Amino acid sequence: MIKMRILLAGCLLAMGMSSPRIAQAAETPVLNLFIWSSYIDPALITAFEKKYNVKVVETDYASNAEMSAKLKAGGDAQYDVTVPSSYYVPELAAEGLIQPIDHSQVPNYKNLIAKFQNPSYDPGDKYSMPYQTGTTGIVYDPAKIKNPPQSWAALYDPKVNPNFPFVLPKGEGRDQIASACAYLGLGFTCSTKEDWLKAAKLIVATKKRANFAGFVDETPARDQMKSGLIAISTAYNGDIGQCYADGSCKTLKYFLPKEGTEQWVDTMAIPAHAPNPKLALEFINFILDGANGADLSNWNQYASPNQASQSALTGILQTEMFTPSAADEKILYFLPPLEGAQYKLFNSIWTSVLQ
Amino acid sequence: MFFRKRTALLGFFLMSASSLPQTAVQTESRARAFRLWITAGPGLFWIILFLLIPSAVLLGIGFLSSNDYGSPVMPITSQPFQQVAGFSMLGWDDGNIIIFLRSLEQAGIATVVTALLAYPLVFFIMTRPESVRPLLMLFIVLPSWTNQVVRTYAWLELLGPNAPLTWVAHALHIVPPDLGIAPGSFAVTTGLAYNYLPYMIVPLYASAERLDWTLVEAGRDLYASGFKLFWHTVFPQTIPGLLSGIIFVAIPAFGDYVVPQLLGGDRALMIGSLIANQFTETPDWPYGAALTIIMLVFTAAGLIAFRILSRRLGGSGEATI
Repeated sequence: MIKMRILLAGCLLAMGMSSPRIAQAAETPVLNLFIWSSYIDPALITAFEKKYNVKVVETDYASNAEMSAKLKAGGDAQYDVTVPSSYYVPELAAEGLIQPIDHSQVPNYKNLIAKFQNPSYDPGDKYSMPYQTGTTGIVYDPAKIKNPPQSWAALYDPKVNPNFPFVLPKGEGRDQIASACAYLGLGFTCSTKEDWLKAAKLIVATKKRANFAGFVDETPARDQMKSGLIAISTAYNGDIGQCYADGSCKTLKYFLPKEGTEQWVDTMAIPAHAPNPKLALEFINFILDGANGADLSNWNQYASPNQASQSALTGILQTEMFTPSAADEKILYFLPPLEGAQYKLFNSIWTSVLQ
Repeated sequence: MFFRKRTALLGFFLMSASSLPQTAVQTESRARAFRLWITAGPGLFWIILFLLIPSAVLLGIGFLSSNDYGSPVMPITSQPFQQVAGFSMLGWDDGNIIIFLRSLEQAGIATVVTALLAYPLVFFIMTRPESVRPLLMLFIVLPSWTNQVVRTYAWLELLGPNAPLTWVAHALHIVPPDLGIAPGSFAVTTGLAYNYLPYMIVPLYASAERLDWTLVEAGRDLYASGFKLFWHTVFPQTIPGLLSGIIFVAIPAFGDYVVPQLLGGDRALMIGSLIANQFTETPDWPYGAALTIIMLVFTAAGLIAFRILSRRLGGSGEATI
């Protein structure tokens, strides 16, 4: 009997202790952030949690395709903010996976650099707001590849690099077809079936070269560069900036191919059935604050699309690698979005390239 | 064997956790039914939840149309299966047939190489003192506790341009001076053999452990030696283990795409990556579902053919799992 009483008392005590905690947890609003891995400063998350008295739950993904598949499979009702790349925004919007943004709740929108406002991929910024930006260029090891031309020829011309292993990005094929088009003189933003097929032919020929070491996406390719597995690859300026900053890739060189390349933008969007869309808007506004945007860029070494952040950027972020010159601006393009039947056609072509 | 042990354990756990009232009227048949549920129930639950329901969902998606962004929509159509047969927006091509044959070839290579490596290794372990055998088996199984992707990355580094093994290959002029062994077909074979070796060794060891050595002695008495002795006395006794080993290796190797992707330079798609792409990079869910169904049908057909074969070859012993 005594035992029973102790047990009962214990239960009551446990209930008494746990119930206010449960109540508190229910009261604290939660922001579910669905974002690329290592893409947000943990200090910024803490600052946001403190400022709004909320809790942030971060879930990571490794590719746009993975993110999109998870949103389709019911994730559009689980997450409050997601971070798609610019060219994915029209697709997510057409599929009804993201919702329009109420601009009146995001006053910091005015902080954005003019070229990132009202972009071609999302007219009027209806569904997305820029998070971070950068360029896609070519990175190479100068000890192995001597003075390559500042051109896509460094990857696509077998005479420039007959011997050393190189890779092309895998992804959805968008960058690869665009870069092959640029190399062939069809323009980086090529969008007809004929041009795509010519570009596809070039890539098929390229992957048959003996020193082709596979389809590897930019960030893992950077790591393969660092350990000497490959000698040349495409790369994001931010990835190279990171390893310049920590000293792990000082000898590597980075350039923008003269035929044209991508100005990529990762954006913030709100999934269609987000549990807490109001908090999502607060978060977007928080990131677009000048000081916060600068903290973010200084932490992960990607460029900021935020005018109000520029003066507070430090180190390599102040160099031309991150703030392109007027001449560079002329060769930078947003990837054109694919809509409707075009999208299916592109995928068929890309699948036939991979076969 | 493993499976049966696990269900028994689960059943024991469930029984000890639930305090069912033991009434005197409980009949023998009721107890038997209860035992049946407690032992077969978890397995049944597992199969329904993780095999039958997802397969039914896939079968449904496989007969739907795909919209511009690859999501399944009405109306019902057979188009996904036409795509499996090779018809796409670009006309018909033999791409899918080649991918299928390539995956089959990969499964074949993995099976043959692991079997050739496993036999000597199993008999080496068998002839060690009984006390060290479990330890040796642990060394065989231990690497498979880490993720396959991680292990394959390790091979990528080991066979890369700056690794000692590659220097040897350079000196022998097998590999051009600036390239590594990986990516290449030798690296793929190495990666496959490494990844699937434990799945061949464990069932082979299980049947080798029950080996009737008197037959071997009889063979010796009849002046058989070397390969002949092995072929006539040992090999027939290990067929059940070998057959399960083949099933364990060939089926996952057929769908594997991590190894060819990383160690093969990704020059060619495998059926596994073709399916994965239809749900991610180049979305077309109905096509991906149709591919999966066709792959499942082929796998099931292969298993049935194997069962028949193992009954014929194994005599009394079927493939032991």
